Amino acid sequence: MDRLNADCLLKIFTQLSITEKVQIETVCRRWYSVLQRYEAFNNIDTLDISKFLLYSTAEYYQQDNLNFEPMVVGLVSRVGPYLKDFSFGHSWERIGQPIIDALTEHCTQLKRVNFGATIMNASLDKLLEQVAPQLESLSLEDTGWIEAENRAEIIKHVKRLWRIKELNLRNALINLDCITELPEGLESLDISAIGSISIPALTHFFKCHQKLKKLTMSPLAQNLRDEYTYADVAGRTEPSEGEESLQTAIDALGTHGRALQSLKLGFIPHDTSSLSLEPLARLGNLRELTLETCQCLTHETLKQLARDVPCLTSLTIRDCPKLADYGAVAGMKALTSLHVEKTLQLCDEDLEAVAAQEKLQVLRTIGCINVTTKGINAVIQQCPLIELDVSKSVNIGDSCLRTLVETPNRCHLRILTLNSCPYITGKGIARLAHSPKTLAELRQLDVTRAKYVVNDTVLQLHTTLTHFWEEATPPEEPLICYCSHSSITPDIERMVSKTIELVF
Amino acid sequence: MAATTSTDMSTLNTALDKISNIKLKCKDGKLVTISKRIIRESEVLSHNFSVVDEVEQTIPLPDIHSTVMKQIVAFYDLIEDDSEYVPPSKYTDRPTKDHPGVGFFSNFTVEELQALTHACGYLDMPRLQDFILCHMIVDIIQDREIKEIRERGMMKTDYTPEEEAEFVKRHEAPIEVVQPQ
Repeated sequence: MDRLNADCLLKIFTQLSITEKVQIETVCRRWYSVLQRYEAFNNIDTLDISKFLLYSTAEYYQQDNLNFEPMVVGLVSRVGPYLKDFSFGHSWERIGQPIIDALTEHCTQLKRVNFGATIMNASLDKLLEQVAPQLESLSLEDTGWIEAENRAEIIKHVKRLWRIKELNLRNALINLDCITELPEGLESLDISAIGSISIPALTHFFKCHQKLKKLTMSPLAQNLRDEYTYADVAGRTEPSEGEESLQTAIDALGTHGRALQSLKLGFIPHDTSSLSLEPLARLGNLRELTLETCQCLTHETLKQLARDVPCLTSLTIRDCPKLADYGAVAGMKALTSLHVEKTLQLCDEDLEAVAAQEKLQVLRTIGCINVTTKGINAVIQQCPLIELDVSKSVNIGDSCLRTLVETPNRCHLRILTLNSCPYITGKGIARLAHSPKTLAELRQLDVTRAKYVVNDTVLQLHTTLTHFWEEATPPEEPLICYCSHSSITPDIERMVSKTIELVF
Repeated sequence: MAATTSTDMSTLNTALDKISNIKLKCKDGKLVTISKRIIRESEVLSHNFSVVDEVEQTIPLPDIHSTVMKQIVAFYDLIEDDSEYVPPSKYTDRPTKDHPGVGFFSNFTVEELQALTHACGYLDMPRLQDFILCHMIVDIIQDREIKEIRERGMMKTDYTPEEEAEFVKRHEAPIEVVQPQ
C-alpha cells in the first residue's frame, strides 16, 4: 500500500473515524505526515467529547481525570480547524484552562458551542473574544463555575453574540439585563433560574425580539421571585399603578410574542390578584406550552388559551394548585400531547372529553389521584396513543391493560409507564402477552415499585415475544423494562436478555 | 461527479451510437472490448474518443495493461447502477457489504488493488476508484492492530524501534482513551 499517493490515502482516511485516524499515525512516516494535513480531518465538523470517554462518565464526574485533558487537547488540535459544532455532551466533566486554550487556538470556525452541564475551571474570555460574533448557538446550561469572576465575564460577551439564534443560560447566576442587546434574529432563549433581570430589561427584550420562537423561564429569575415574597413579608402594598411589575413584562410578551411557538414558564409565586397570565392567550402561534408551579394559573386563563390559541398541540401543567378545573383542556382542538402532574383537580370527565377528539398521542397523568381506570380507558379506546404515563396513580388498576390488549388497532403504544401504581399487578402486565402485536410494538415498560409484578410475568412476556419474533423481523434493541423496587429479581436477567432488557 | 458536462454528454452519446464495438489497445498490444458505459464513466476515455480509429474502432491506451483493463470491464459488468455518481464524503457513506463488487474484489491482492487504483486514477473513473479505496482498502485498515495493517497492506515501518516506542508512549494516553463508546 506504500505506492498509493497522498490523495488516495486521504480518500481512504476520510472513511475512518477520528479514533482510527489517531491510531494509524503509527503505521509509517508517510501516513503520519498525510494525517497531519488538515484535509485528513476536514470531513469532521462535529465533536462530542462525551463519546470518547473511556468506560463511563462517572470516571470523569466533576474531577480532574489524568487522561481527560490530553485526550481533549489531542482531539481538538487535530480536528479543530474544521470544527463547527463542539459539545462536552452534558456529562459533568471538569474543564481546565488548557482545554479552553486549545479550543481558542485551533477552533476558529465554531458556530455551535455546548458547554452545558460541565464544571468550568477556566476563563472563557479569550475563546469568546474570538468566536462570539460568529456563534449561532451557545449553551451554558447549568454550567458550574469554580471562579465567580469567570462567570461574570460572560456578560460582556453576550452583547457580542451578533449572529446568535439559540442561547441557553439556564442557571447562570448573574444579572442578565444585557439580553436586550442580543440580535433581533434570536429564535430560542433559556433564562431559567438566572440570578436577576430587571422588569424594564425583560419588557424591552420582548419588544425588540419579535422573531423569538422558543422561550424558557422556569424557574423565574431569582429577583422576580423574591420581589413577590418580599412584598408579602414586609407588608408592603401592591405595586401602585405605573410601577413596573412582572405583569408589565407578561403583557409585553403577549403583545410582541406573535412568533412564539414554544413557551415554558414556571415557579411563579405571584397569586391571581398580583399576576394574570391571560396575555398568554394572545400568543396565537403557540404550539407547546408548559406551566409549572404557577400560583396564578386559573381556569379562566386556560379557557382563553383554548379559545384563542388554535394550534396548541402540546400542553404541560405541573403542580398548579389554583387551577380548579381542567374542563377547558377539551376545548383545545389540536392537542396531541397532554401532561398533567400533581393535581387533585383533573378527573375522568376531563379525560373523556379530551379522548372524544380522538387526537391524543401522548398522555401523562402523574400523581393525579382523581384520575381512575375509567378515564384512562376512554383515552386508550379512542386515541392513537404512542405514550402513556400514569405514574403515582392510586386509582389505576389492571383493567387499563385489558382495554389496551382488547383494542389493539387503535393504540400503538411505544412507551408505557406504570411507575408506583400500587394496583397494577403481575396478572395485569401478563395480559400484554395476550396481544403479541401490542407487546411487540412496546419499546419501554416501566413497572418500578410494582411489588406484585414478579419474575413469572417477565418470563411470560419473554415467551410471547420469542414466538412473535420467530416470524417477524425483531427490532434492533430489546424491550427495555424498568423494574427497580418491584418483585422482579436479577436471576432471570440472562434468561430473557434476548427480548427484554431489565433495568434495576 | 459527471464525467462530462450535459451538453458534452449528449454529443458524446450521439457519437457513441454510431459505433457498435469499441476496443482499447493496451500497453501489451492486446485489444480489450469495452462497453459504452465505461467510456461515459471515464473522463479520459470520453476525451480520447475523438482519436478513435474509425476503421478498426480502437482507442490507443499505451499506459494500462490489458489484465487490469479486463478487471475494470468485469467490475462494470457486475454493477447495474447507471445513475450519476456522487462521491462519498463521510465514513458512514461506505458501500454496503452485499455490494456485488465486494465478492469480486475479495480475492485480489493488495498489489492488484493498487494497480487498479492507479489505472482508475489515470482514466479518471471515480466510481471504481472510490469503491476500491473507500471499501476494499478501508477494510484492510479498519478495526485492526497496527502490526496487522502493515502485514495485510504489505508495508514496512520506517520508524526506528526507539522512535516507535517513543511515538507509542507519546500517544498512549489519547489513543487508549480515544475509544468511542
